[in-house]
Amino acid sequence: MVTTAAKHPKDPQLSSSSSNGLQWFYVAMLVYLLLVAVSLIGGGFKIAAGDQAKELFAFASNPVTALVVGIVATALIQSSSTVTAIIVGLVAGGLPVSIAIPMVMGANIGTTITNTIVSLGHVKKDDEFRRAFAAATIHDFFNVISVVIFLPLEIAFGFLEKIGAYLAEFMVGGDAMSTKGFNFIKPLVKPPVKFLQDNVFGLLPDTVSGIMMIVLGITMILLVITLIGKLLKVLMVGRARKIMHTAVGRGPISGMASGTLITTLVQSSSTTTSLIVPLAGTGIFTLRQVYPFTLGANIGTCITALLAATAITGPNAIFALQIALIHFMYNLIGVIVIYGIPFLREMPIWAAEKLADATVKNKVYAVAYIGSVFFVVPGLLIGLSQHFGW
Amino acid sequence: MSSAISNKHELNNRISDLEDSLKQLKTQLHRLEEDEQHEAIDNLEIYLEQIDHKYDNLRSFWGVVANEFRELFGKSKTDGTSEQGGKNES
Repeated sequence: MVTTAAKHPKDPQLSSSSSNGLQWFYVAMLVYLLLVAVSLIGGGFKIAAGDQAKELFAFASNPVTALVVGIVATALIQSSSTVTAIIVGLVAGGLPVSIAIPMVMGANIGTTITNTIVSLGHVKKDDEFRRAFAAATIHDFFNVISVVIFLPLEIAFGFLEKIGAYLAEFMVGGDAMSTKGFNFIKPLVKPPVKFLQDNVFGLLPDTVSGIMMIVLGITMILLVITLIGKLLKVLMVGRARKIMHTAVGRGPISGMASGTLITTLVQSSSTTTSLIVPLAGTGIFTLRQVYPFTLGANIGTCITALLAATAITGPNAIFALQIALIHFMYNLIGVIVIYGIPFLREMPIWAAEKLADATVKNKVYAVAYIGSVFFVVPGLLIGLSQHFGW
Repeated sequence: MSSAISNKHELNNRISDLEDSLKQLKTQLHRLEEDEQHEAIDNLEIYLEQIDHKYDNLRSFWGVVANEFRELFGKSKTDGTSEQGGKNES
């Protein structure tokens, strides 16, 4: 008997679109799992710490320590989206927003290690390596300068915390635009979290079940963001190509917009900033052309934390949204201020070029740079801040 | 007097001709650069693949750094020996 499938050989276009449909289904499921994971961390933290959440994070109440926690955690995990999603979960569980702010600033610095590692692949050709390494480290220098400017201002005036609180209040509680009425995510996320809380972890003592929920949440976020990144990289390559084609020859604002859009699509600033490194290495794109693109990645990466914040329920939901909005505003203000002021704009370019020149002459500089920026200096800062009680 | 004026006029004409051709060359260069960029973007998958080879990158980088270290220490050792040898000779 001849089957219909045999009579009509498979249309490749149809099979590709159905496989794309399946992959989009996986992405949707993974996003759902991400939201559940963030909610699990928040719930677990609440159960484990109760009202003691602030005391639990007392070790990081010093902003320098919190900054270092953000840098080192992100450098080790190599994903700022993962770390900021975890921070949103922790804020939902009671971590004070004031401690979370330096952590998200640190996540910005920590995530730049990925594109720096990608640039090391060009080490065998000096000119290529110089261009690639400069294209990678320009992002580091920008983020370091951003922290140097905004962390002291935040410590002194708490301006980001105030902006975040105002925006969160406006979005959740305000009369003008309340998300309360149309947030369909919370009811979707609550049942599995409640099921796990009551049935799977409910048999254990509170502290143990809370810790188990946090561990499960963090593990899920790590896995889910890795998988989403892999799937979206394949699914979004066509769209990313179109966006980049449109941005060619249109100046820095267009470069920033394309960096933001592509990062939002692939949900990973590491992917976007690493993608541009070999393009700069070949000399096809200049350092000045890739610079705005990497800044756009800083803004685009905030989408994950904003998405994660929509999953949070309860009285701390507003704080979770607040930290996600702070992450966004910090990156946006950073780009406007540093790129907007010519003197500040030139600093990352100058520093990246000088470091790249030195590194080409002696590769040990690259090792010293990565070791010091991501691990040694943060360690020293913690030691000094604890010693002097900053 | 009139020859000076015509000389000036001729020089002005030549400057504007040169400026025009410079502008044309710059536009041509821009177009070439943009074509190259579009071509690279067309091969985006190749560049995306490089991100997945982070650990290979690290390994090859370590190889180069180790060689530089070896050369550095080998050199300083040799320098030290030759310096000593020189002293002995003197």
